[in-house]
Amino acid sequence: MRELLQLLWEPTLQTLAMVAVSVLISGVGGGVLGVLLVVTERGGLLPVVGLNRFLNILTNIGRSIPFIILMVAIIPFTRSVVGTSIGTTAAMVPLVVGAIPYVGRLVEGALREVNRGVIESILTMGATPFQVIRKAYLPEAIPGLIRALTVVTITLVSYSAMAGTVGGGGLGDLAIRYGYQGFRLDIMIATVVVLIVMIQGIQFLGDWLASHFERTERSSAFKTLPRPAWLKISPRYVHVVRWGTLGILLIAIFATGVHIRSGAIHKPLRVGVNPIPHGEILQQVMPILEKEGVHVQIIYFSDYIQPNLALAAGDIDANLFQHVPFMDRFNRDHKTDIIAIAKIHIEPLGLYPGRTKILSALRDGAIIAIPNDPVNSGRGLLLLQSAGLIQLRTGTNTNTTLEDISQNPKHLKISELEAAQLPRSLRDVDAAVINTNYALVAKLNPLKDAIYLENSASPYANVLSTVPSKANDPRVSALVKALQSSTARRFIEQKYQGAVLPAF
Amino acid sequence: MLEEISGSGPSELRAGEAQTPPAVLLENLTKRYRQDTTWSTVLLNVSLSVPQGTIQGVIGFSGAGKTTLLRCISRLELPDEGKVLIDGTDLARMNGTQLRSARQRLGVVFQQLHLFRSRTVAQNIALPLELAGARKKDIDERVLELLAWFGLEAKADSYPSQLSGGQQQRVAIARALATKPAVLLSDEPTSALDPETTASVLALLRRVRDELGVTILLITHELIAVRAICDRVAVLDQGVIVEEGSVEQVLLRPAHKTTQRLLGRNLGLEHLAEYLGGMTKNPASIFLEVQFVGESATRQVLSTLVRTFEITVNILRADIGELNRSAYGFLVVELGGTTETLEQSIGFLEAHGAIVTHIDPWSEAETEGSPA
Repeated sequence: MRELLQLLWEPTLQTLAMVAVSVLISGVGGGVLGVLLVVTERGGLLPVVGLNRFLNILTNIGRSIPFIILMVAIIPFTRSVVGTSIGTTAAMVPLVVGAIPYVGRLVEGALREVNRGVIESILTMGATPFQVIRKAYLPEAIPGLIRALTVVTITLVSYSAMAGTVGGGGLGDLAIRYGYQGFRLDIMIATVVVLIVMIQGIQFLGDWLASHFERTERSSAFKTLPRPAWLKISPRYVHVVRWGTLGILLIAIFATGVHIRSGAIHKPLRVGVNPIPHGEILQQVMPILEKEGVHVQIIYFSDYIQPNLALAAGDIDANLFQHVPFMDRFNRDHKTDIIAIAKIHIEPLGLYPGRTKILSALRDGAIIAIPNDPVNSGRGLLLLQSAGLIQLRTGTNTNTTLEDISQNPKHLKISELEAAQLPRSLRDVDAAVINTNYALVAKLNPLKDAIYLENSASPYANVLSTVPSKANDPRVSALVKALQSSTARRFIEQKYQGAVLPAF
Repeated sequence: MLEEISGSGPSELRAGEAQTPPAVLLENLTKRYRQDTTWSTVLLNVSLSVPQGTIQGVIGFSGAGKTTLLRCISRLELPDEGKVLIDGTDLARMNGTQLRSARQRLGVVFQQLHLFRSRTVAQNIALPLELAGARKKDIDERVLELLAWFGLEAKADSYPSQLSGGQQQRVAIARALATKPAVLLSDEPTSALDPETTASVLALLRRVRDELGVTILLITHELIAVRAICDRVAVLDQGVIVEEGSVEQVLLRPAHKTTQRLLGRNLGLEHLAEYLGGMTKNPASIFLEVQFVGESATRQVLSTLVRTFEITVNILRADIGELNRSAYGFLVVELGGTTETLEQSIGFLEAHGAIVTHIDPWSEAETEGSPA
């Protein structure tokens, strides 16, 4: 229970900070957009038909881009605004950008609900267009605006779940990392419960505020319903409510500011990881690093592109999630110079028995299945070569295809299958090359069941990577030492039972 | 204190009546709307001069162009041709800042009032002053003054939704008067109100004119409002003013067919033929509409008539009320007798100040049935 609360605390704060700040900024930005959409239209208060058309198209474009794509697409913009493309603060930028068109449309709708006659009546009093907006449109639309803001806030809570892509943390990310990827049902449920409580709270607050500003409306039936005393606010105290709300928002911003600043002052060594197993291994050696006086900040990524982009951009100092062939390909494609500095572990690729139960018993013309995606296909062929079954003319080059087989003494028939399908193919083939994650799903134990297994010499060992300028940082050296310590080895061997092997 | 509310008090009004320009002067106001490819003329050459301190009614059936007239005068619509002079300045020629400050000389009370639901009564009344950029102290002072004058002190902090229809009307009128306009434009002030509230709202409008000296232009389809408080009335029909004059003149001796129809409809004459049922026309009897105004309405003219002449009287319809603060009686009677006695009877009624009109209930019904 204690562990659970500790785990939940920080992500909850992160979610609150992300949502509070993005609601506030997108509320202002979207508010301006919504007002412009209404007043600039033909027959509106300040008709500028060209601008109106432009804003409409822009809003529609903004609303059509899926959030996850938007988040990655605007990374350069994010970096120029907040100085980094990763972390909670960086996640706020796409949240704001994504929410503004949405808020704009909702505000537009709320303003259109304002009685047209009310606008005309204030015009006959001699109001300027700005006064019409400030004294008629906005105050008369308050209940509708509050409802819109409630919808936006709740939407942003769910958008923020995707913040994990850029290492933003938050509750959604926690649920994905531990619950979905890590099979920790308890954490997933706890996270969802916290989210439900949060959403309920936001909806209740929104409804209450909206009904308060509704001024009991025309419905006389509602008027006769006695409202509890604490729900009644005399007009005298309306300003108290207003300033109170503003105060809460300011506190939220302040808290976020402190959160960001404190991060900036400490300047820890920032290490990007995939949560499992990389993050868990790093967690284990944190005490060792603390003892050495090295403060490490773990930044979780849920994809394979961002950790390298962030490393190349200097947003993080090192990452641990990839193997060298992947890194090489990335460097080539992205013109980066990321280097590997230490092998840490391997999720071994294994040859699992099908109709044939031992390696030496493979008959002439036996059928062997291997994965069909380019990376794992090459890796599978290398495994077969290392087992002495075939020879490749490309040697140990990882860019290998079926065409590269130079000697196949047993005339093995090698067929490529979708990686996830391989365990199921075992009954129909003599043996199959299977990735550990799929082997585990099929209840195969790499250590016990595989007839041949990759070892730490494999080029597919996961490595700690960094950029050349940081390779000699003593803190990085300490990190390598800790990750290759006997503590780490013991943890890997015990925790993963062969699914992950130490590669040092 | 109350005289100060308006720019010009009634006393100085009367003194300079001949010299002062009209509070509202409409000149050849024309407005056309485009419907697909054709243009329809909603107002055509509407001219109207409303002297200061007058309550001028504009009456017409729905679709006559009343709403467009209101929107052109308040400059929510730009007239295609003509002038709209309010207190001497032409709103139709103005734009921007000029128009905004000129609008403070014209208070508008809309049919649906359009009070701000997010503002209390006091805040609603303060709105025009805020827009004009008045100082807070002055606003508070003026709002208190108006709340007191309109008897709304107790409701100052209430929201419009918490008020009765009559109270909302008062707030709307108070708000329209906040900037001390010379002219109050009131659109259907009595529609959707019960008779009692109607009477009190009309009395209030009259007080506004009497005590604050505000000229009122009242646009309505209800004869009761015109009869009760208007000095003059214009009849609008299909975008044209077909008849204009003092209320007594227009209502008692309507010259135009539309005016007669308006009056007839109000009095229910179109149903007379139905009431008379299958009765065949008796050549020996005549149908008269008899109107009494002022002193004669209070005298028992009809009973004297019966006692004096050899005639039979059948009262088909009767109504008493008020016409611009005078007592007003209205009768529809069937008189039976000889040609001579009938002529004498009409002479007797007219000698006693009654306005007598011959009517034919059967043709009245036909007129109603024919397309307007």
